[in-house]
Amino acid sequence: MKDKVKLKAIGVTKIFEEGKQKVVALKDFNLEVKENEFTVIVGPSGCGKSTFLYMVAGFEKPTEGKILLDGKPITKPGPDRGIVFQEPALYPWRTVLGNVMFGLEIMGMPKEKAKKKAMQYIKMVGLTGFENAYPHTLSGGMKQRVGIARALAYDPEILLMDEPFGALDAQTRKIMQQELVKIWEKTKKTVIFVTHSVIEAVYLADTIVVMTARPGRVKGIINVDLPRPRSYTDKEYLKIRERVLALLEEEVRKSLELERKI
Amino acid sequence: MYRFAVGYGLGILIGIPLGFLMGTSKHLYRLVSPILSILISIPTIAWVPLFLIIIGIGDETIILTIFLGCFFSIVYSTMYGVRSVSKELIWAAKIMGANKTAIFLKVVLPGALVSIITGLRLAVGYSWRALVGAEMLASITGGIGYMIYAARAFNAINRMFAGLFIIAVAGLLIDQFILGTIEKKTIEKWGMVRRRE
Repeated sequence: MKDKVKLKAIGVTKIFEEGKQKVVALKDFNLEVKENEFTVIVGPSGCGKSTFLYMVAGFEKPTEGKILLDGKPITKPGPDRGIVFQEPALYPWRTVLGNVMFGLEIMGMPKEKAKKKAMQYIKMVGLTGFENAYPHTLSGGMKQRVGIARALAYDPEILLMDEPFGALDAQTRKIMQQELVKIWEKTKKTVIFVTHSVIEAVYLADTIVVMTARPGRVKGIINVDLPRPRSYTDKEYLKIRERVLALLEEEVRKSLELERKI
Repeated sequence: MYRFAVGYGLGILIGIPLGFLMGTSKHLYRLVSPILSILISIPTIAWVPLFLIIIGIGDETIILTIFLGCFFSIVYSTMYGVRSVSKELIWAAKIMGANKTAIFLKVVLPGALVSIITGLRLAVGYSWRALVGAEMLASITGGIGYMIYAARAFNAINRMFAGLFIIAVAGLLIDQFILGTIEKKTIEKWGMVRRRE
């Protein structure tokens, strides 16, 4: 079904308290994410975009408001969601295969079946032949591929990505963006992807959510209706990029002001 | 040797679980940590006279001393190992549906291993020290420490050296062949520590 709302954030406010200091990370944040869509959240650093993602994951709880996944409020982490972190957070004591199988193992899937399934995803991310390698022998881009395969292997409803390519070099980053589009087209998962790179956002997204400086709110939503794979130099692409940048610039300035005050 | 094994074994058996609990539970940490901080500063051997009065001369006193000698380093290293496991590694397991037992067995335990092995290594040395000291004071039935100490009465320097040599070799064997092998097959293979060159 098209246009079905997969995830809904209603009036989400998150306040962090550290001693006497109170930091309002998000204030009255509302968002709808449609099924099978690729949503990218961009915003100045410290705007609470990762915090929002962690609340969707169930690692953090909203101070006010709620987040609904398929109509049900999120209360704790669970395998209906998958997550990829900036640092791939792989288990160094497990091989590539072992890492990708982790979720299936927890589900209690028989070993042979789990292995077969994991191998499919290893193939999908282009790591066939590396299944028995330990993470420390892999490059940054390869590790992140394992991270993606691990998050997809147990077939979650929604994939959360927290600046997954933020620590990669520019070339690898581009390749990973292209690969991710291919993977996404194969799986058609609902994705929420957090980044501060506008180039990345416009390349990947169906919908771009621009956030304000802290406390984070939705500043604007831009639909990217361009066919994939996109070109980084296409006229339409550049036009949209300009629009996003214009929205974002003001907020980045505000965010810098905030930092100066602290 | 048997005294060493029992004392060190007890140290592992009690030290590692306690370390895990202290690494996981803030309350237990607050409760136990001050006590450990006080106890850790007391040289193990200083306990021996007290044990001699309470327990008397014999194996129990020696074993208890060895246990105390290795216990703290095992508890602390396990605790720090647990706390060194990153939030993301635990989060990743949680979102994949892992319950507490699975997180413990599949994430925290292997994640803490680098630190645990370091602690066990240090503990071997501490245990030997405690053993020799305790045997000098509390043994009537022999043992390496006792042998060195008793040799003094006969001016038998060669026997003293033999005793020292045995301790050194036994320490080396435990460190290299047991702990070293575990290290190679686990944390070194996983790239959690660099390979020795």
